[in-house]
Amino acid sequence: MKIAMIGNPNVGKTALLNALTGGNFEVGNFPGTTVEKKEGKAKIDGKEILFVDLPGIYSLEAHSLDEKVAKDFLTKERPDLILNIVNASNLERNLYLTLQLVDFKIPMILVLNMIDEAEKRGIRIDAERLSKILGIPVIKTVAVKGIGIEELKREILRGGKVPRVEIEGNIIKTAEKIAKKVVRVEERRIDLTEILDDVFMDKHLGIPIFIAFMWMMFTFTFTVATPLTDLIDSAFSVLAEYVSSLNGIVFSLIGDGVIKGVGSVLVFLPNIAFLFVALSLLELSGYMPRAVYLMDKIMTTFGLTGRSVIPLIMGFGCNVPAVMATRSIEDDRVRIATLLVNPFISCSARLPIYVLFAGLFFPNAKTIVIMSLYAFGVAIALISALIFRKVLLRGEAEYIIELPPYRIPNWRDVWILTWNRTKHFLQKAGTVILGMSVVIWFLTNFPTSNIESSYAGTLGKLLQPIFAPMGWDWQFVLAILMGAVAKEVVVETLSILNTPISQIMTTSQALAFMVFSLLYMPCIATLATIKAEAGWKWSIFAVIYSFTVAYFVAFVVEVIARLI
Amino acid sequence: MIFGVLAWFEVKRSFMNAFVLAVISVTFLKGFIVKKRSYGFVASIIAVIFAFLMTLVFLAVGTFSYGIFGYFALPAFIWYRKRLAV
Repeated sequence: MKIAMIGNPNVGKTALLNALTGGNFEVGNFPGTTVEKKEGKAKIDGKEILFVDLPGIYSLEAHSLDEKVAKDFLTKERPDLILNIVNASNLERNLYLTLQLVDFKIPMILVLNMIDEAEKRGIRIDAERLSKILGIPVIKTVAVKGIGIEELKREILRGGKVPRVEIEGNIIKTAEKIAKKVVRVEERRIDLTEILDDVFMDKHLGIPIFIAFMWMMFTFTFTVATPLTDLIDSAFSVLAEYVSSLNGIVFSLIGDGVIKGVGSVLVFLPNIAFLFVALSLLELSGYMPRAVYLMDKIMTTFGLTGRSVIPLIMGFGCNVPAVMATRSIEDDRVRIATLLVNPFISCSARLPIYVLFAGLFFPNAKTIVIMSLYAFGVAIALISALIFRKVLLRGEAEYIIELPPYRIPNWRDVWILTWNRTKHFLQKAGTVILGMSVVIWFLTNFPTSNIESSYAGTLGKLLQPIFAPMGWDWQFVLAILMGAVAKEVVVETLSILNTPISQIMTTSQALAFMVFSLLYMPCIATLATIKAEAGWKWSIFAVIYSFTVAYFVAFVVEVIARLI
Repeated sequence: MIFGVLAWFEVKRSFMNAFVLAVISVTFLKGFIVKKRSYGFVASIIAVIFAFLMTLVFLAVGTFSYGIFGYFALPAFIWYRKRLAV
């Protein structure tokens, strides 16, 4: 049995999928978390069921890529049952999609999710009456708490019913009439969302509070994680030293290559995990979309829309899902612009570079330097977006921004979100970074074990003149070249080369190096995603454009910093 | 008032920590001026979160910040929570 899960963005479809299948899919508290269909299997009373979680959409008019994905699935795959998930707090708007689904003549169950939030807001829904009007079963649920799931499972086994509802006039009016018949709003106490929005969206205090939160997030990421990073660092150093002290080329490869290389990146695992915990808390609490709203005026000035902000925020974790998240942007020009500027948003892979260099050259201002780099990346992304929209991707764009209610983050969701993202980093350490450590070890040990005359030395010295204006030694040039595969490899290369960074680099050169690492070309995985989402032309453009910007900006930063 | 003084003490140690304390102080102040409890409620939440964070920083690296005194806002948080019936 194949079941399609469909509904508006941010109605808890993925949370329901997790509740029905016992899965660990990522949930969010902002529209657009799911941009491609996810599948989860479950056995209900011995019957095997495949649940397909479709991207959140407002209609089936197929304006955006995710609407197209959902419509194509319903027409081509013809599921046995549709679970139409609606936000109980906003029935009228959600019914617009429900009424469009009637045309497919597929058995359906309406799931009134997040009923607890609706009831807290004084909204009472007559589910029985709604069921009679639509001609389908209606089940009330709270997916994150598992409420109503057993009843829903029973109803799934019954197979749902083909909806029979008469559209009077147009769909919007029909939805309005149905909502009037079944929804009753009682006198209610003040809503938490209203209280918090009063302050978080305050025109004078909103942005200072946002900056304060960002500072707290970075302090948590870099300072609180310090004992753990020190511990991992010592463990890897001792292990690498011991293994490489044993005689033989294999021990040299394992000690000086693999353990030292992979260890130099894994040292930053606590920083990355802590950053993800903080980001997950901000996302799941519902604060992130408020930050977006606060920045909306700025976004419009730079030719983007509110919808661009979610992919940009996701970019702080990893640019790959962030580029994919641009699918929810209806306007193609805005989508391409958002996708092209996304690699300027500093992903977690670049964090080890900042922590290493800022720690060496700015030990007393480490956090503020790193926070400034993140802000600088955002500024370059916005300026680039403006250039693209004025020169290459001209035209007006409209959008709707939806603010979800505030929620106290559920620790299970925080864990899933943090673990899934951190797991990605660990997987990279076990694959790409491990492979690269072997490559770099080979380059530094052959044809001679003297680094200066090794392949690595020759290659680095060959390319060094390109970066001569910034004054970087060949080791840094080689690190940049290797880092094109994955940004973590920059730190790994410097570690395997035993580069005495603070002795052969000035503070201004270090600052320029951090800026260059922030901006220069997307990693291979991001490039492949840009190619898949926008085509070859734009992926080649992304490489040339970002490298040019990185080169120019790093040069300017080096000159200015040297003069200061 | 308390947070304004703490921000003043903190400014020489860490400008950004002082900024957070100043934001808390101004948020309380705005609530007082516009006579809205929501400002005091949010300011006390931020103060307690910040105090918890500064405690973690102290335990992790031994750096003291006056932000630790943000726990003073805990009774205010409870009071506002009751009044606002959240």
